[in-house]
Amino acid sequence: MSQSVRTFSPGLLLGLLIRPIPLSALRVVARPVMDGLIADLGPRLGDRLSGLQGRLAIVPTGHPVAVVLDIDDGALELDLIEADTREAMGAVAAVRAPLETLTAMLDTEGMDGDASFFARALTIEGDTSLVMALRYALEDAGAGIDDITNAMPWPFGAALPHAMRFGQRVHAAASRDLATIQDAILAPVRTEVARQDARMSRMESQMQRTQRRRAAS
Amino acid sequence: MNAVPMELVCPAGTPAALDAAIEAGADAVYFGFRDRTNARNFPGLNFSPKELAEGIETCNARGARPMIAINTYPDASDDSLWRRNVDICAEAGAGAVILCDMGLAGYATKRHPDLRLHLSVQASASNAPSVQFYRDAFNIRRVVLPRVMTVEQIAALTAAVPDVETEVFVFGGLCVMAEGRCSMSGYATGISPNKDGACSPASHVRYEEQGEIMTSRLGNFTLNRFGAGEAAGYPTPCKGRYRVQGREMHLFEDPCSLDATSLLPDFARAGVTALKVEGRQRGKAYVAQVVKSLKAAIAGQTATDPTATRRFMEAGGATTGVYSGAWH
Amino acid sequence: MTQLSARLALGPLLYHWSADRRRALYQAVAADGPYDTVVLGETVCAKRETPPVMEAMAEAEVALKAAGRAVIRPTIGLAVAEEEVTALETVARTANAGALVEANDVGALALLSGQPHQIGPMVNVYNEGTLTALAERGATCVTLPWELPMDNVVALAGTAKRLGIDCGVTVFGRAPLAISARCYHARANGLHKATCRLICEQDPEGLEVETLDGDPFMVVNGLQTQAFAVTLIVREIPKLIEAGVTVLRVSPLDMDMVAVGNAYADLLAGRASVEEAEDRLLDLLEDHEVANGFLHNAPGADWVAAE
Repeated sequence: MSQSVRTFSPGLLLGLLIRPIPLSALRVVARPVMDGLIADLGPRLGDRLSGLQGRLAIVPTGHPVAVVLDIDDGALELDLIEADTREAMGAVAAVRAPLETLTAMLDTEGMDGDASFFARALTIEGDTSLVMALRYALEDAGAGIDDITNAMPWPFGAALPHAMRFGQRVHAAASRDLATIQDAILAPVRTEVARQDARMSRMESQMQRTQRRRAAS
Repeated sequence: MNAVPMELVCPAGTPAALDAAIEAGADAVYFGFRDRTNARNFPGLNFSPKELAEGIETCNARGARPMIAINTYPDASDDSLWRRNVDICAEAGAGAVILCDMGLAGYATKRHPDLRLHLSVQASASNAPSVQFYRDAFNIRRVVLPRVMTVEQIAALTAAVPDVETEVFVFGGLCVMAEGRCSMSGYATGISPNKDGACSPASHVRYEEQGEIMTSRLGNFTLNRFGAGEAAGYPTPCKGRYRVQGREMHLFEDPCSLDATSLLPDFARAGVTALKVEGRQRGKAYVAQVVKSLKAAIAGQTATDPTATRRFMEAGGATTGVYSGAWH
Repeated sequence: MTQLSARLALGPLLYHWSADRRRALYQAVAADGPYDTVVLGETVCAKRETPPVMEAMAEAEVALKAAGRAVIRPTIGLAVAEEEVTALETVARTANAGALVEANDVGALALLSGQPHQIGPMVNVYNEGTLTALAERGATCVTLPWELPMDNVVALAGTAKRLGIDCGVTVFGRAPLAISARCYHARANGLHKATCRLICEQDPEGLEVETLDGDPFMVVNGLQTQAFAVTLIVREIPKLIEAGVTVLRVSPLDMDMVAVGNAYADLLAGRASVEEAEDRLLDLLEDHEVANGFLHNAPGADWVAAE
């Protein structure tokens, strides 16, 4: 796999998750993915986050949902919440940037965090040190799309490698490509959501079982 | 005239960036410990002792020279951390240790006589007698020159002290003050760049957004205010915008980065041994593309897209800075 | 009140004053000043050494020596250009003729090593290793950097005592925060270093730099950038002296420097308490902002009140 495809960024995670579907549904779908990611990435973030504490919110500009990361001395938790002011999100730091900027940031062919900041494509509020530490930790973890694939429950994980082929030059035409990826991954989810809410809970329990199986295997 | 092409010395803030630098063709990589011995002591950045030893091994295995920066000034009463780090470098087979403190240099020369010592830019050795002093007193083999000298001054220095190699910055952030002698950030924060390794530490930097206006603050002081769409720079006091005699201005330097690629032939003629890229705090993308571009330029190829590295610069602007006399 | 044993030194004039203004300062110090030692010479910018200035400084040296003061010649703080390196070497060579020279750029040590000399606060002395390396090469007095916190000063002063050399701390004046090859005083006036017309003479205590919010932050003084707030160390002095500090240095401002020196001299002689001395100095400083943060391990701009 080429370097750019292997590159994971928090923005890409966002890209996979934020579509105009209710937050409650989104959280249900995203929960196992996020848990899987944390289980996998946590150890690889090493001790770069040790000694740091607090909630960091990543808010893609113009989107209603934010990813929040709760950092507690090296331990990490992910969640989705409604995008709001930093204070309302209970975050000590917030990063706001267009989705394509967040996505491109960890790609060796793209821009780095400093460059995005210089270009005013990215803003930082609150505790700047938390943002920096997370950035360096994620970059060094060098997590790839494999991580998302592994974290995703069936049938989404299986669909992903195909979808990701669209992401080869994701920074070049990020919005369009991302929309393609999102559609590929989330279309079935949206259909499910539209059908009935009750089915969501069944799906959730199915996912959890899948996860447990994966963990056991 | 140099028969050997100038050595390209590249930054690495993480093992991942180190791999990216080697991949892109770095002749040497400089990196440091994740503690106060490092002049880029930023949260989450740099190498644990284990990562550092592995980094040295990776470099040696892949033909890039590992240089370790231990370039802050050790504490009075307790310099054990600095000494320990020098010992680790010597044991792990570092190609050089880059340091600035006389006391630590004295320790290194006595304890590890075979360890090659480079004088960090943090020592701000900007003239021939200074370089001679460090050579005679501490067996310094190479000096990283402060970004305050013109090409002519560099040529005069290499001619006056031919047995000490020189390394000059060609790309990246631009300190406009004599390095290692600046307390501006400490005046605002109480954290000393010289002692603690952080200029404008993130813990003391805050950004405020009011609509399209962004204000940057360091401690209790407002450093800058950027209008809608106006490119930003690092939140360091030397890049700030101030009011002087009733006029608002970037008093010390406009937010811009150094790009001296066009001066490479001049550096070669001036007898420069190595070219250094600033930016251990930067990402893999920066390291990979800047190194690739400079490597091509050193080889005499100019085919690379000049805009490829431009986007990494502060406020998107470049200067050849101090190297031309007009800057002064 | 007990007597405190330390010498008082007047540091180099950091600003560019006219020949007449310099004469007035040093004549007053020679006639009435309490300073045992005067560091006399240019440390910021070699361009300031015009013939009238050199003449005034030469007269000052004669007058100060005649009045029994020790005169020390400082080197320039940052030597980069050829004329600056020449100036550095010229001052350093006077040590051969018996002059007491203070090194402010490490380059001077190439010429001074092996003979008695002093180390100024522009040289980075942060730890015992460096202090010892300098003492081994002939340093007899080291004035520590302005930004050192108290516990570091205490440790270094103790080491200096054991090494048998003097240890100085600056207790009054605007802390130099940075030096550059570029002249920001010229730049603020739309000029360059080469065409500066010595514009820095306009501002006898430097050019004030405010933040965009109007808070005073720094002062530009030729190639040097200084703290806006004036460092004022008084109540810490007994502790400094107890630790082994033997020289208290006062950096000149545009005010009655004899009166400033007398406040410290009275404290040292036991004629004034620390509170009295501090009050007198605050009165003399009028509306100057004061700071002692560096010594108290706080932002250098802060004033840490007495406990």
